[in-house]
Amino acid sequence: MTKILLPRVFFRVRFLLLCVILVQAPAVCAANPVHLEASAQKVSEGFISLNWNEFSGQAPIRLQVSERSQWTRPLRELSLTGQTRVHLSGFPDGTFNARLVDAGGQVLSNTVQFRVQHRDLGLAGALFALGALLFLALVVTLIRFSATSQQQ
Amino acid sequence: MYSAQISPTTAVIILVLFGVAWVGFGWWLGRSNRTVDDFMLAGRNVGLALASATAMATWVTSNTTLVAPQLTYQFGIWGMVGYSMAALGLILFAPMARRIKTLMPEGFTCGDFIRVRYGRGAWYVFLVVSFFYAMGWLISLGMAGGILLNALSGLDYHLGMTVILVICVGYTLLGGLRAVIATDFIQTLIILCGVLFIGYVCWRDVGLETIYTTVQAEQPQLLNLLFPAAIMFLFNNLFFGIGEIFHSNVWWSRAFAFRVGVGQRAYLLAGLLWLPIPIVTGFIALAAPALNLYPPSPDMVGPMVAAKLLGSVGAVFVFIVVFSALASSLDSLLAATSDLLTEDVYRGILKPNASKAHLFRAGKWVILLLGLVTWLLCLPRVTTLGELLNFTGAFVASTIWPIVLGLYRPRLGGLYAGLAMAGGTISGLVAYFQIGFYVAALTACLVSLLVCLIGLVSHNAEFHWQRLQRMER
Repeated sequence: MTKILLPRVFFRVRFLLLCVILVQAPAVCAANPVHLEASAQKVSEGFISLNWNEFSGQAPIRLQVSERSQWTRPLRELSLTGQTRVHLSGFPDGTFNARLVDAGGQVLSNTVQFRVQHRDLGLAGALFALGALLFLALVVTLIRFSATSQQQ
Repeated sequence: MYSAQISPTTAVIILVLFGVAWVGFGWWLGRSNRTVDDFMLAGRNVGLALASATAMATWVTSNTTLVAPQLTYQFGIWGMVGYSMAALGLILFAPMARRIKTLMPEGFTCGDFIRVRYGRGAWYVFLVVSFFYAMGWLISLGMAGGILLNALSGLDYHLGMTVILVICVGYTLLGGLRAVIATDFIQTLIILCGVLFIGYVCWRDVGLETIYTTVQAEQPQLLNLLFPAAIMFLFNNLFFGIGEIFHSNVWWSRAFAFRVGVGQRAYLLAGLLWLPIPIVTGFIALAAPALNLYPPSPDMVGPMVAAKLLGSVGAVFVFIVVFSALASSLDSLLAATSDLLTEDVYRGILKPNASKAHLFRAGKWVILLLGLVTWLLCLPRVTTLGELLNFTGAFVASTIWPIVLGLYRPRLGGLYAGLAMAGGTISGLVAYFQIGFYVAALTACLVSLLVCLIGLVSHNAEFHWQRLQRMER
């Protein structure tokens, strides 16, 4: 008898749990009705694009960007009503989080994280010097060639 | 997406009015075209005023009105300065224009020069480079037309792109280079006045201090003079601009078309006039955060700021300025690329014995075909303007040294010139994908120089300049 009852009870408990999860699922989605996505997880130039799905809920919509999830004092808070995409630039090195909120500060989307790590300044300086030398060589060459050809 | 500043109906009315005016003007100018020289090179008799205007207007393009603000928005001060340094391309081309006219008084295209000077191997490599660049630029211009209409009026991207292409193909087809140069003159006046006015309004209404404070708070890296990617971008953009001008038939065809003694002065003047324009267009992009504008795509920042500053009536003005900038480049590129296709591919490869009358007709068909191909390639908006243009940087920068040495030094042979262009392009593309777009042109130019130097040291053949005068086939 116990052998028959135990699996039944176990099955019922599992079924009830599944129902609870299924009932909860829309509530989770309703908490974040907008899905926010970043164009990259890591960027080297300090600019990034964020996009999200069309939201039929209350306007206006705001994008908050903060460093290390400090939402009490976000670094940037942009009004983006009517948009579904934004291109942000000028970030220094660091790890940043972004999310969408409504006018009352109610969170509308998931939080995306992206890391900004600028390229090595030494490499950039070397390429700059190389470019300057190459340019100087071109200018000197052109001036000399041009002067010679005019004499001829 | 965000508040469009003019209604779609107003945008369509402006387009129809401008379309009828430009196409009618093109037809009127094209009535006196009798020969292929008239159609392709405006009778080889263009004076200083028209020559300077066409050189400047052609260089003020979607790059300057849409990409310069984009690059400033992404790379800050260095993006703005780096973009304006492309004026050095025009200035450095000035003495070369004089040399080109002297060496090839009967020349038609830059392809003619490469073929006679370096032989067929290098010519094939050059044609690939040149067409890849020309198509990249044409697509970026077509896309810019669609983006402009969409940003300013909310009109569908495909409709805007189609209308602008149809107008430019129309008047280029009817009037040839003569129509291109004449419309460029009027477009230059509109662009200069318009850009200066928008810059003034931005300075007056937003103010330097507000712009500086907002950018420092929200986008601090844009004001950082030690911004690594921007530092890399600076000389890369310079070589990209120089490569674009040195190799492209847009500039060579003008050197052939200008009256003797005009080319050098015209290019110098055009370069000096062009220099401040990207500074002004870039500057307005920095005002975006102060105006609470955050563009969905970086190439929309310029039109968005301008439209916001000038309001509904001003948006019409912005629309006309950017449309003029686009048209002045699109028509030039259509004309120059069709010349290259007609002279180098059609006559050079397919029909070597074609008469001049036959080429005159073929040139018109080529313009139509080119317009159609551009339209098809613009349909899927696959990338941003900046990305598309910078991808071609590796191609064009590889041609700088082979062209400079080919024009002035008789020793560099075709094998090394071809290798320099191919090797430079490949290494530039590797740098593009491994590091970023902001090093592609610099790498291509450097590798190309190294190959040319090896060629100069190891090769001892002498080229006779008379062969260029005779335009040997």
